[in-house]
Amino acid sequence: MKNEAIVTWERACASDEAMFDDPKAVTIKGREIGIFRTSEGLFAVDNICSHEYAYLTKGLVEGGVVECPLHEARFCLKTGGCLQGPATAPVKTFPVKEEGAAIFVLV
Amino acid sequence: MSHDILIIGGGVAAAHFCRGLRLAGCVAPILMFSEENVAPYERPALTKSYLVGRKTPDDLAILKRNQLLDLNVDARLGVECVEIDVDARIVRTGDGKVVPYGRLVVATGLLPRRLIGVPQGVRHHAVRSLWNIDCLKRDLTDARKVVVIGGGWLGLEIAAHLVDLKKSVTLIDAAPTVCSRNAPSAISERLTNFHRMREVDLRLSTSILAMSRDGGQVCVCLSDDTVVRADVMVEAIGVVSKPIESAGALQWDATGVIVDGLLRTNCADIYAIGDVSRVTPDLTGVALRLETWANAVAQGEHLARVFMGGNARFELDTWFWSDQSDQNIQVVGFPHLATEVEEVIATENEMFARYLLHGQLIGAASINRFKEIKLAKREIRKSPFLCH
Repeated sequence: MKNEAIVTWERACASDEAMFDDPKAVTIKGREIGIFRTSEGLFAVDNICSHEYAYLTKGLVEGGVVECPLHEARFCLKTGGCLQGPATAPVKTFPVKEEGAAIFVLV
Repeated sequence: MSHDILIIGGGVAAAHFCRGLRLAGCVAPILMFSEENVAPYERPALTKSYLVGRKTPDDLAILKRNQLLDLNVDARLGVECVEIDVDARIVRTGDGKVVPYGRLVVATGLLPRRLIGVPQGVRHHAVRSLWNIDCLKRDLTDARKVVVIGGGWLGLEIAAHLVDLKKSVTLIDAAPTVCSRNAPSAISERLTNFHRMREVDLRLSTSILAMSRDGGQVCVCLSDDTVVRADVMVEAIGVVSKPIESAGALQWDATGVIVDGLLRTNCADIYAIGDVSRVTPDLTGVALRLETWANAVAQGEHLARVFMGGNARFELDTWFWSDQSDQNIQVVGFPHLATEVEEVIATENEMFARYLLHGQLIGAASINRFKEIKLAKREIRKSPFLCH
């Protein structure tokens, strides 16, 4: 059986760095992750679109959905599922929590 | 065997058309002829991430061969069509086959214009297909100096990424500004500065007088009385359409094929989509060719709806983007027709401007500003002037 890498809660950013309409891009353990605060909650997803190299944190967020800034692929922030092409693959999501004015992601 | 649907071309528009038809439940036999010996692939990355080696051919695939099979598309790759007989409803292929069709879709794309008078033995490349870029990449491995002819979007993208590859780049264009055909002046000026700051030797208002070869290098004599020497030459001087012989029945010339709001040509049951098609928006009243990825996708998907009985007119998608190293440029609508410009954001690395005609938003342009351009895009897409 393959050894799973150890997953830990990592501090992503201060709470006030991920605001409505202004998501935060962070790099944790070499992984680019977007922290999105939305009307439907706080989410952490892979920040690179599964279609082309683009930061989802630069896209438009509406409800729990982010639209890639380059080609308008849309992803559900809760599940990572692709809702509209041209992307076909989902983006990975990460458990996220907020404690003591900071945001933590399970990576 | 007669194929209900015959597509000439296997690019972005053709792929999205096939997928759209099958997603809508169409079960008619589809036959696709493509001159390129590659299943449909994405072209935008060719002059960007693929050129610098961040993507593989596999990453570019839209529909791989097995996916074409899954969609029940009979794709004949590497096959040229040489004649359309509109009366007999047949297509002749370069290898001598005669293929009847029920409905024919012209999705050939365009061919790169080539320079005349390039000396033999010079390493020079067009930038259109995967094959072109593979050949260019091979020649770049031991090249230090590259001359790019043409300061349009592709020429600038190539120049930007060649600098990323540590090449010394000279770019030549006869026009006084870069992307003179369709970039708003604010974008043109910023791009000119950007490339000059990165030490691209940008020669504008400059034309080529003669070319010769010296050893392995090309020597380009210019109208500014200088000679540029380079190991590799890149030709990015625009595109032309190469009509397939149709005994004059199909109105198709070097500028493309004019289509109506349902993407129909002047001949019954013949349609055209993608770069080769020319549509006429109300605002301009002139048939336009939109050589963009978004247009190819939108037309492919729209024609699928038309084939399934839809009768909505095609609404132009004028949006396009260009990535030049770390600069993301997006333009939507018709900025050049504006009477008024609002520069909403103008900082060192970012720009966003709205273009108005008699108070109505008809265009927008941005550099590295994503949300603003996205919202402007939505607003413009709702405008009735884009219909035709």
